[in-house]
Formats: sequence, structure tokens, C-alpha cells
Amino acid sequence: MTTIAIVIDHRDPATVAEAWRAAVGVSLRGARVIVAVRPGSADGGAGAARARATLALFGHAIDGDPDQIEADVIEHWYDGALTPTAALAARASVVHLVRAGRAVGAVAPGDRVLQLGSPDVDFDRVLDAVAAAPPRVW
Amino acid sequence: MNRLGLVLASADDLALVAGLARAAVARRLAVRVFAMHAGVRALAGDRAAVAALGDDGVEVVACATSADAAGVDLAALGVAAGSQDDHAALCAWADRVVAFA
Repeated sequence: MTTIAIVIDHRDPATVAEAWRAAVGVSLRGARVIVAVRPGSADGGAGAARARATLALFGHAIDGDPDQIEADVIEHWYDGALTPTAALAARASVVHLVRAGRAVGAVAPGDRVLQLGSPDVDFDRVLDAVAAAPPRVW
Repeated sequence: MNRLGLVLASADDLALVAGLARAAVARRLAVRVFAMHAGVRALAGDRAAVAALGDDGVEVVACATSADAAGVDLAALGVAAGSQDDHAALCAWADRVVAFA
């Protein structure tokens, strides 16, 4: 079974609500879903609360640790403002794709970090890295 | 990796999605894009990029709920109107998913 993680590191309530809507969405084809919310993120309001309740009702994990996610797909809803707080233990390697103006966090031994900020991004190199390990976009 | 899924939910990352898609197509990978939230507005703001994705054979689907909220006419943009089910389908279909959110 595919595991899809939605990691929420965002201060905008509307975006947080969308992330929760996406979490319900990606569950629709039978995937196991993990949602992890970084402390300091906005409250997504009533929509987020409904999504949270729906996911919990169907047995999905809604209280994941954003720094310890193990998943086949990681959607990281990130505004660049919040930083990881937990010490990292060993987990499967990921490739961190870092956008312009964003800081990377939660890098574990074995992870790879690639910057996407320059105008001449080497997309072939990015694809090689993505093929080698699941990506997390900061 | 034979199938690449790209999720665009942010306002400023369409160029990265387009660049990754083009590089993947050059490798003969199958590529699909699902746009939602601010990503739908990003598509509407760069019709040339959307057209180029289509020319490259990239399937682009956008969340109709997001489009309605943003007042974006997906048909006029040449983008298929979809739902969160398409988001789930993309995650199930792809060997790797890169999500700009």
C-alpha cells in the first residue's frame, strides 16, 4: 500500500485548509495517509477540522511527526518560515529540493540536498536525485 | 523511474514544474501535472507555459474547486478540470511525485 504524507509547515490559514483538503483527496485511491503539522502552523478552520475528522474516521494518521515522516510520497506544504524542532533519528533517505528563499531542515544522514533557486537549475541532476530517493520540497 | 507526477499548489513554482516536466519528457518519462490552490492561478498567469506542457505531451489536470474559487476558466486555458480524485490517481500512478506546495 502506498503511504502519502502531507506535512504542513505554513502560517496561512487558507493554505493550511487546502493542505488538509489535499490530505483527504490523496486518500481516495486507497493510500494510507499521514498528516503532520508543524507547531506554529495556522489553524485551517472548519474545513481543516472536517478533513481531520474524516481522515481519523477512516483510520489515517493525523498526528504525525513532521521530522520523522516515512512515506512513498511527501507533500510538504511549506512557507519557509517554520523550522524543524526535533532531533532526527535514522529514517529512509530523501532528496531535499530547496526553493529560492527557503531554508532546508530536518536533513538526516544519507539525505541529499539540491538547490532549486538558481535560474539555471540542472533539471537532469534533479531528476537523477528524485529517481534515487523520494523528494521533499522545502 | 518511468512515470513522474508533479503537484503544483504554490504561486511561484510553475517554472520549476515546467523545467522538470521538460527534462523528464526528454528522457521519455511519462509526466502528469495536478494543480490546485494557488497553482491553478499560476497556470492561468502563464498560458505559454501551459501550452508548452501540452505540446510536450504532459497531461495537466487542475482542481475545479480551486479554479472556481479563483475565477479561472480552465477550458479557456486548455487544462482539464479535475478533482482531488485526480490528485490521488496521480500519486497512485507515478513512480515519483514532486509536490510544490
